Amino acid sequence: MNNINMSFDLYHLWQVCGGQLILIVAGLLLILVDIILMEKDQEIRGRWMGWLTVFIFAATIGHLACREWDLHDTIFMNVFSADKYSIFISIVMTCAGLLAAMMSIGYLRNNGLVRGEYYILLVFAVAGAIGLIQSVDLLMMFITLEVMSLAIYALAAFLKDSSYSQEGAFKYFLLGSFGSALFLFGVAIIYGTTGTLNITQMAQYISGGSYSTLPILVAFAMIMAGFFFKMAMVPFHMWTPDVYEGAPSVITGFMATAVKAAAFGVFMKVLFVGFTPILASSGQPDFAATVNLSALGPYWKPVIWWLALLSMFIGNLIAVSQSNIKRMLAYSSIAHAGYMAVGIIAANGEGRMGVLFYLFAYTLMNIGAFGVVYLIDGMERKAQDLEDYRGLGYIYPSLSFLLSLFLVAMAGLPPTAGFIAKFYVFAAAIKEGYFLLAALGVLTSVIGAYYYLRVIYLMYMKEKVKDVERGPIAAPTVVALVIAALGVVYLGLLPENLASVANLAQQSLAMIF
Amino acid sequence: MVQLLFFYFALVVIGLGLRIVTCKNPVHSVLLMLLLFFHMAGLYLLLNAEFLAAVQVIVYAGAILVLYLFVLFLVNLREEIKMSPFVQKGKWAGLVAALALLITFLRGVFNFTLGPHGQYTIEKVQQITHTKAMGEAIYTTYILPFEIAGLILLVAVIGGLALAKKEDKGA
Repeated sequence: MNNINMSFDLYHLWQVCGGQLILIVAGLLLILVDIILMEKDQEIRGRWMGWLTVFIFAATIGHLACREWDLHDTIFMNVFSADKYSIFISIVMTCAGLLAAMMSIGYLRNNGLVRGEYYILLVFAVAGAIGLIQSVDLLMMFITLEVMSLAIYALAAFLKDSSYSQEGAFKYFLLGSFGSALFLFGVAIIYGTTGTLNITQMAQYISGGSYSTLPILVAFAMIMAGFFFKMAMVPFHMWTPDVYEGAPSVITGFMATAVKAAAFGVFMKVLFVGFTPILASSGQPDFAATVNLSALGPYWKPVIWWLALLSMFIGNLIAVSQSNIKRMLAYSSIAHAGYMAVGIIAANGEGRMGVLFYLFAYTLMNIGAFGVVYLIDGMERKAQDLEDYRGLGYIYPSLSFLLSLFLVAMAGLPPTAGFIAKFYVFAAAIKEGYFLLAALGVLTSVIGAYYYLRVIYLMYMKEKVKDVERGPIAAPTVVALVIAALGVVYLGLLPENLASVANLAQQSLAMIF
Repeated sequence: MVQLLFFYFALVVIGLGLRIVTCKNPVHSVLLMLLLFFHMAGLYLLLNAEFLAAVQVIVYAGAILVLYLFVLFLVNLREEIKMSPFVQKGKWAGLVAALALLITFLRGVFNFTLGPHGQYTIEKVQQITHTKAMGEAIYTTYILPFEIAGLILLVAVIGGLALAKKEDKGA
């Protein structure tokens, strides 16, 4: 505590939190650029801001992948950690930001919304998300969670003429604040009982065994509830359809992937570093000596078992009866949260690796799907009903093909990334003896296949009833879609590379200090 | 005496909180909230946290409430918009959920054991005064969270600006 000067210098901060720093500084510079471009033509201004944002995200990914991947370090009395696990999820979220920024250039132009703040908020949202996943300290988690959430609330409300967007953003804001408050309450109880906010010190305290279980469990439940709000797991999913339907399509794709990845990532970190630490392989002698490491396991596993099951069933069943494609994808994202939670319950290396793989694959296919949705839409809400997709396969063959690919991936059919991701997660659950959950999970993905494939059926097997005029297609959107599509197919055919990287990332979770 | 004061402040805070959300007239709500903030400041004073109490009064009661009032007068809510609730049985489900939460909290609170203490004991805080202790903690131990909390404000300002600014429909 007293050697504060020793533990803090700017170069070290740059080493450990380089990704965040790039994004924060770049976000501040973007504000300046926006002011400088104020007098310029809307078209030029939008394009400049968009491309700069794309460049910033690309630079961040490069920095994270090349400079921070091999780090194993913490900074400032363990407030932030740079380890393979955090960096992996940071890269997933920055990829989501990158794809979203590329699509936004076209999206904003199609909707006549050239606003610099949009990109600034997007950059800050990703900065907050990276901070969230890097933090080892519950207080820091709360602060960075708020940075991310506030930016997303504002982005969700960006369509000012649309009452759907306003309603959704307002609901998201109220319920999200409620979720954050629950989380904060849990953190306060943790601080009271364990005397620390740091999750590794908390783990030491818990593994010491001299605590009363009940307050810890109450705090744990509150923290879980706070994260489940962001993940859109079932009892906390009420906001999802309205928000996903109302928000700008590209932002919906970003929310469904980056925010979910952030929430899942940080939840797994809190769970497997803090509450039921997986055995550390280095430098923690008092950890290895205790048998209390998984003492809390019997408490949280049944809870997540039921929530995962409910998420899979309710998400998939309600999605079947939706007529709006964004709403349908919202319910599908609830179901996907359930599938990922199956990997968490397994609580073994394969399960964690599966969740990381799933997050990456889901990011590609979901952002891709929303990208196609916005292109077919033209202007927001012009053609979002499933009926509008009738016969589109012959009018816009390439767009329809891409959408079909992403939907097939979401349904979990081979040879796409979605199949491999589901396979990893369920295989991990079966290995730990969760046969019933895995079987029911597969059953729900059959229900899921029905409504995903129905869209493809409508596009190719039905006559069109309505003239749908898509908006002009911007080049960066095409590039983003092609990247996402290639990624989905590549990960479906050759998953080993990403799987081994995710496995490395998962292993470093045991060594966060 | 201290306990009596605590229970007075705590009960008034809870009662006022309930009244604020059930109040029909928003101006009354805001004025009751002023009272609430003063009682919260009282709670902080009982904890020897005079700096927090002062900030509570100056920032919340002084600045934020005035903003609330301004917004209320600008928005000019005359009549209440009534809508039938989407979920009809919501009241009872809500009651059950709230009771379950309350029981969980109470069980957690009654089994509460205080963890190890930090370096700022009561004696130390009294010795170096609360304001100085808090300043030291914020600007040394918690400097990084403190800086990033600034980022929250920046994001909120940009977001608020983006949503409030009049659309310049061009192009």
